[in-house]
Amino acid sequence: MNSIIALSLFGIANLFLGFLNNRKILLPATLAFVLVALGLNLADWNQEYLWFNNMLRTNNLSVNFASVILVATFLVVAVSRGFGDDEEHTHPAEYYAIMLFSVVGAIMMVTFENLIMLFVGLEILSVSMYILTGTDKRNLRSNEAALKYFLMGAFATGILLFGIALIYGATGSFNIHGIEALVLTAAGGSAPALLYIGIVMVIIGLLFKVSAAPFHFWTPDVYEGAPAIFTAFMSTVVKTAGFAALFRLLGGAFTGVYGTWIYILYFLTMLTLIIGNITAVYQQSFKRMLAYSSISHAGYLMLTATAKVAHTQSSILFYSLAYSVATISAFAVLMVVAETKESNAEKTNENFDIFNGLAKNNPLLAFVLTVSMLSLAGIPLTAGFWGKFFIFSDAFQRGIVVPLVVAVLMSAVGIYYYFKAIISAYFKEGDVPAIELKPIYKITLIVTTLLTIVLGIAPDLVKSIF
Amino acid sequence: MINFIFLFFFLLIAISAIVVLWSRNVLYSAFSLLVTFLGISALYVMAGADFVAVTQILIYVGGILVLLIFGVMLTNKGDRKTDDKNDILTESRNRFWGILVAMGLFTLLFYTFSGADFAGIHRQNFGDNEQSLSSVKGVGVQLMTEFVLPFEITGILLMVALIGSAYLASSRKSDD
Amino acid sequence: MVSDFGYILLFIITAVTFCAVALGGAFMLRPNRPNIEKLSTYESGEAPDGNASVRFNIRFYIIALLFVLFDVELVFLFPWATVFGNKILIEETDGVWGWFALSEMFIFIGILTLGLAYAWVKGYLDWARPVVKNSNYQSKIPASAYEKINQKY
Repeated sequence: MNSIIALSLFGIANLFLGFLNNRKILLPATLAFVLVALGLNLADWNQEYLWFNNMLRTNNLSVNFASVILVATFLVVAVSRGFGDDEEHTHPAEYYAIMLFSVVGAIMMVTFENLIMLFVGLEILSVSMYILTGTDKRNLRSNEAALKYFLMGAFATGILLFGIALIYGATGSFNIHGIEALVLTAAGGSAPALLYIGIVMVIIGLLFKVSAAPFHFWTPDVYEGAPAIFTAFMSTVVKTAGFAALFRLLGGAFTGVYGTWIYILYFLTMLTLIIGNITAVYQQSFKRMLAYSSISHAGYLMLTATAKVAHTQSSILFYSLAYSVATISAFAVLMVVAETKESNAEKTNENFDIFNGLAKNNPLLAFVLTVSMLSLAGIPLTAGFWGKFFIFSDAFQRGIVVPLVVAVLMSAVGIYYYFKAIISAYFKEGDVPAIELKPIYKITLIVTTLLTIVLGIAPDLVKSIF
Repeated sequence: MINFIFLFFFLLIAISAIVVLWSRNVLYSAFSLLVTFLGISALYVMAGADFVAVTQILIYVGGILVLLIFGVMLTNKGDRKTDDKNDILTESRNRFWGILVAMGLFTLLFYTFSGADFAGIHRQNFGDNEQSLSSVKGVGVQLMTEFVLPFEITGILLMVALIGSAYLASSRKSDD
Repeated sequence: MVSDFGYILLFIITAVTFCAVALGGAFMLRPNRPNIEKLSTYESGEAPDGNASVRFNIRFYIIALLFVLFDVELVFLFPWATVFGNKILIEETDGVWGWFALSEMFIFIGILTLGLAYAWVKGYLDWARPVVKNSNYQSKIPASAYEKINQKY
């Protein structure tokens, strides 16, 4: 809770730091702000609090989710390197401020106790993302992506809001525990259609935000059009926050009418997994492949978010963390390689062949890329493997066989397209000149890679906390 | 009497909404939307939500529609030296799927609301709502007590929108 | 409540009837003999040039966007203003109510004022002026020649 207030103030502070005409100060300041927020967030550990007339609830679950979000933000900010030195076209003060504001929204989506807070949080997060998508004003792709994202996102938020209104109409409460009790009593008798439609609409609105099929169609274009750094931010923070909200609703408020939505969600999970993985195979662009991969990861997360038992939360958390860390390092490598090629006045396209021959002159980058790809594919000794393992074993225990079989098959398909990047880096001919990395960049890449490997060897280090 | 007024506004909304959809000229659609918004605010009044009605007029009619018409005027492509009409006409006319989706949605919502039991909900005690009949006071009290956090956070939301819109809409020259 | 808005409805009906009667009466009484000159647009006596619907400058748009944002802020001020000075509420809470409401609203407006200050300092509120190009055309006639003519007549 305190982290929300702190981050709001830090965002405003960041905006005004931009007037100092000193671009160097912004990156360390933002990193410090995120660290302070992380500290404040961890201070709520092991305490159960309700804030401001039951608007927010902080407990260990919310602290964990918020920590994953803040760690992902920290890593993304660290690899942003202050957005270069192009004074005229990049405005780091605004970018960092909007990123901090969007984290405010994300943490609200994690801690909400009242559906109004969910809506306001989602709206802050989405509005920030629309802006960040369109920040590259010279790039038509970026403009198009921002517009598309805005229209689709506004539509989804509208559906969510309509759903919240219908739920209020049926239960007379915005409070999710109040709704939970009322839904339980309603489920015993004849619950009004209003309630079911409302619940389905809220779920659809949230699935839109986490880009699950069939509400995924905006994802590839937006991920491809947005600047890579913001794509990394979007695919980690928004996804984690969206799944936290979804999990809290499905596992809490909506459990009473479990039977209504569970089969729909199983079907959508399988659809998401199949569409995400199969389409990713055919992609030429690395960024677009990562977009489809993010859709497929939404499928794996849905598999476990549909559980009505609470102990699956640690699986979701672990998976989110593993996925975020691996995605950020993949985007970081892509960014630095694309930038170098661009500064050498070569034509860049962010396709797989951008990595051709990367290992020759840049063994570190190639290694980082390999580890992140292995983790996303779920190969043993990486964090991604354990993420998938926990989710599959949860699903197995709950006895949902068909979605589980689909998920296992599709993760085998996934290995194919993740290895395409590794093959380009190590076995294809091409020349990437030796890239000199800034110290903070190098440290961040090493940290993310180490984190992936350490979690892959000893998952219980983190899993036991969650 | 009140039923006739309701019917009048209902027809106003329905007809103007159909004009919004079927007019090929974007500007006519925008102006027709104005009538729709006004009609909806009248329905809010009849539902006893006077604050929402005034908000609807203030924000939608006074703000967003102006923005919409500005948008139309900004995208006008015509050459000013010709006397030809240079209205913006929409190309997109996906009648079949549009009608299908609209009908499906209508059936769903009609089914939902006709079976809804709103009477079961106890009226929340909105301040001294029962006496004064106006909801403004109740909204004010709620805003300052129960919903004070969402209210303050909305400030952050508006701030983000302000920075973003100013940043994205500014021309490149003033971006120093 | 509805009766208060009934007055507004009466005003709407009056306005519509008034316009309809005036325009309808004029339509029935007036002669209808249009020609090209009558139908042309009146532009202060100038010959009309082109179409009225031209592309507007983007500068209006930013102002309109900011206006909508502050419009939304204004909507929150109305219900607050009705209860802020409420005597019963202040007495019930020993004066805490007034100070609480005041400080809450100051925080809310303060956040947006900071946003406005940001936009102002950044120059987003400046009217984007067209750049005046200085012509380097040198006239053959010296300026004094004009002076002479002015003095002569």
